[in-house]
Amino acid sequence: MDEVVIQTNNLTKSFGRQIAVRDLTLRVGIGDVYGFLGPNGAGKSTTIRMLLGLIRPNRGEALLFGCNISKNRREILKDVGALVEAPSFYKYLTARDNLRILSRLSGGCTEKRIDEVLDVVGLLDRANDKVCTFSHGMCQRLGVAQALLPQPKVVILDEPTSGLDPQGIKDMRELIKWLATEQKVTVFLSSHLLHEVEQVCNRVGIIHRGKLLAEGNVDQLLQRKTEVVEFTVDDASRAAEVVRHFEWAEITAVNTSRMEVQVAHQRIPDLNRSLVNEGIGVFSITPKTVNLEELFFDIIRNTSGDVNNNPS
Amino acid sequence: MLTTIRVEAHKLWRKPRTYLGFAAISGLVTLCLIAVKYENPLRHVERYLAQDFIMSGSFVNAVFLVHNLIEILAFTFLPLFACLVLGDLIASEAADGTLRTILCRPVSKAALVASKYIIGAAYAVSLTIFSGVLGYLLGRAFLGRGSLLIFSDGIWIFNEQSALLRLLAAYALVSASALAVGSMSFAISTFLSNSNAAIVGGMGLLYTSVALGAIDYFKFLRPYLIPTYSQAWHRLFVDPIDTLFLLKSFGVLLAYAAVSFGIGLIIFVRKDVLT
Repeated sequence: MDEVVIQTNNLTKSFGRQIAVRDLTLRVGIGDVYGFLGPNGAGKSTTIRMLLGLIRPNRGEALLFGCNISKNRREILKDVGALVEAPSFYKYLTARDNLRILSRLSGGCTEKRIDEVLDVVGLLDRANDKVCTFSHGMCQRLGVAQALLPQPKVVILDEPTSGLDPQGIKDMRELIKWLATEQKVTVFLSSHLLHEVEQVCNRVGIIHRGKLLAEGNVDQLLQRKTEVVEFTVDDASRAAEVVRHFEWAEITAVNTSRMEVQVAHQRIPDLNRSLVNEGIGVFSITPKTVNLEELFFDIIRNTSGDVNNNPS
Repeated sequence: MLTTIRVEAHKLWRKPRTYLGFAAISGLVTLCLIAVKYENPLRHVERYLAQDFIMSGSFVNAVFLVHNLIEILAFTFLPLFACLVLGDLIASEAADGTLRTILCRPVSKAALVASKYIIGAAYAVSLTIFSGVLGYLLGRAFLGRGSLLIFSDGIWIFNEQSALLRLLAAYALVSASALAVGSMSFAISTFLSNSNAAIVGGMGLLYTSVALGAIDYFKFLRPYLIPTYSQAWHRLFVDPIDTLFLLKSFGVLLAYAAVSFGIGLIIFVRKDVLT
């Protein structure tokens, strides 16, 4: 990671006896598209609010551009665009007027810039319509437009695809990619839509019950699992008996002609040789790719006991 | 802070609900005008006075209408309007989520809340002044001009110029009183983030103060209660005027407003934005 743009150190927030975020330490580098994953109530929005100075942490610190948000909120937010949860606007004003008001609070911008961001989100033709006439998806897009208005170095988006139709989700995905590649903006994106995150993010952090369970490059995280390989054979039950002799291989599923085995990549030829030596016909060996969704549930399943037992 | 004040002013004047306050005041003033013109509450008094004095013109005139308006509006309507405005400033934006949108910008929380209060207070005071100005203009148009007749520990008659000056001072006191009650509502709204609770809370505190002030057992509290000072405007319509008490009343009411604003400011700056 070249330069850290967002950093939290032991960030902790509780509401009464309920701990929303506990000892959260994460790093987001410059140019990253960081996916912050977690189920509902995991602590994603609370973390984002702490990153933006909307909520004060009980313990720990949130740093953006190396400065503590609690102490330098106004300075930091000049370079940050954010969309937190459902977008909210003044419904009696037009989209353009809403952006004018919000731009004034960020030091002002030109009408040309307002047109630019409205064009980016596809709302230029509705610029002079009152927000009360907008659908949820259009409000969501206006929310992204207001986040982009001050030409930020970092964009923080909390569930940006929430309420969008499939086309809207695709557009949002393209927009995030465009921001990262063309505009060189660092994006911090919270979501529970794993498929979306997998497609746009280069790094992810997985949070569950307020605790960060895993963090790293998407590719590295997906490779860290032992590979699952599917063998198509003429007699799967006999093949399973052969595999059970090896400590380094574990059968995860068997039916008449297919057998799934969890095995290290370099052991696959050994396993194949053993099956052939036992007279079993092997028709195909297919590595089963692990996606982020499987990884996510695997991590949550394996660590939920730890989280539950962790003393607060 | 000037920018946030401008933004708040812009939002207020673009909001359709802003004009409902002026429409409601206009309706109330019109109702009072109709009642005064067609009921003539002074008809028995004027008939009685005509037995001993030579009467020219009528005491049912513009200044009489304005004085009656204060009597009607001062205790309930103007504090209620102030609560509706000031109690709604933070709470409605918190409920709509727009507060969160604004606070994701490089805006000082203190400057934001101060700007909102300044604009809200200006609006509440402008409603009060509007009621007086409209009452006087309608009164002049439909009732005519004349002296002000007041019954308060005797009969007092003030010429129009003197009456207008006294009414002006009365409106200043009534505005300060409405502002004091509205500011309590504002403080409650920053704590509860609920405009209904803030409005009920502000008015509830006012009525509780009235009840406490009326009970002899609690008379030691009277120097600290808003109603002791909010009714002080009555003392403008006697001679000589107790200037010291009136200035003290004005000061106490403004102090109530300032302390309530201060409490609201501290709560807002320290509070997490969860909505």
